[in-house]
Amino acid sequence: MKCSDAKRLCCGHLDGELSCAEDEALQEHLRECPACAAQAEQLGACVELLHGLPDVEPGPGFYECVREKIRAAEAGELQVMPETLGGRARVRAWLDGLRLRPAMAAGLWLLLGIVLGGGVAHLAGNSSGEAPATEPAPLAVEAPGGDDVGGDAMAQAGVRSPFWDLELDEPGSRSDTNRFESEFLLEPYVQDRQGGLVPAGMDYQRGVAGDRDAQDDVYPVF
Amino acid sequence: MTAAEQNQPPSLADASDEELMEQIVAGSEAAFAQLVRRYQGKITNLVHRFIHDREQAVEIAQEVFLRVYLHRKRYRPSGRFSTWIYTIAANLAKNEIRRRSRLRGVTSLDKLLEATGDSGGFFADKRPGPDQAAHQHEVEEIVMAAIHKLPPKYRDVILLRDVQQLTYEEIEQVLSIPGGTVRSRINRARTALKEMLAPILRRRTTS
Ligand SMILES: [Zn+2]
Repeated sequence: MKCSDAKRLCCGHLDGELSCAEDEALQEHLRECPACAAQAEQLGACVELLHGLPDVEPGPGFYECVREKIRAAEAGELQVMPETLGGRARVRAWLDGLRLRPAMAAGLWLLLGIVLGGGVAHLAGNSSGEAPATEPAPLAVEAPGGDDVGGDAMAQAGVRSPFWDLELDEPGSRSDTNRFESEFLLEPYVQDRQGGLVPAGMDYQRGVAGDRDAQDDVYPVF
Repeated sequence: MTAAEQNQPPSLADASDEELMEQIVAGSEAAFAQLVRRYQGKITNLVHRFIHDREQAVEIAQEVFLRVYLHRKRYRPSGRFSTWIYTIAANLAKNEIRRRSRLRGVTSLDKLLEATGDSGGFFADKRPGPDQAAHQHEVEEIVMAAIHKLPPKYRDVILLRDVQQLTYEEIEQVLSIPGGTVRSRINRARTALKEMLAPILRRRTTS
């Protein structure tokens, strides 16, 4: 077994997801490979740490508070707003609402694709691995300061972010991880792109690639 | 089992979530009370881990149950109740994160840095810790800050899997992503967290 396979299987092992044969092969590798064994041990300790986080108690009177909210909502004293859709979801809903004929819909999407694709190509042409110093990420909807915005554009522009590059088996991932780790651990503040001081990690948080859907949609609840 | 649960007719305490929902739709307040008791801890915890603010978490958890009740007729028994309510809770919590970052442009990392002065000092292991509880609390703060430094898609899977201990299948449904994606995200999220928390973990694994 290769070390990369062992790394992949370690996670499944922790969740009891491996077949007997896989588990046996993994254990055999861990016996022979001190590096992977150490990594596996730390991964296990990490999951254990997360499992051990203390629960918070909802406190007494929880049910009564829920009842009161229901009473208020039913009496019209409390507005329970449906969470509205934002950004792309709204466009999608609008397109759905039009009930376009397939050919029309395809044409519209094609047009949208050309427009967006052109924008991305333009951005990629401008960028050589560094964040543009002044240009805002074009697809970011609530920058700056969102905890999950801007990532798509950054990724498409080829801007490297430590997390996005944290492929398990990719060469180069170690250095990114180390850079990230050292900044987090040793420098509580780093310079952001505007030259101001921000807590280490903040800048990354803005720059990482998040879910496409998470970029600009409000999560639907009712 | 709490005293309140013992006072319930056995049929309610033994009823499945889905059976309770049926009774709630039929107008049973006792069934709703039972369901709230069954899930209030899990939902409050889940929301708390997302937004890292206990009082607000309780508030939002109550809103989750409010929405469950108001929209009880929209629940389809073909799906599991647990994933339905977790989805509502996770989405409300994530919207709250979003609202906060819009309002203030801050993340929970700020809180950590405020609370612990600087993270370097904490990791420098200069706290032999006569006050074990305070130390535990700080470890928790660090762990939560690390989780919230993950990109949202990795944060979500790690909170649902390793903190709330949902199954892979439940996570698939709550986040509406395929199983293979759940697995790979959990794998990457754990690897990233392991790197971030290495100083704590090294101490734990060597001691
Ligand atoms: Zn190995």
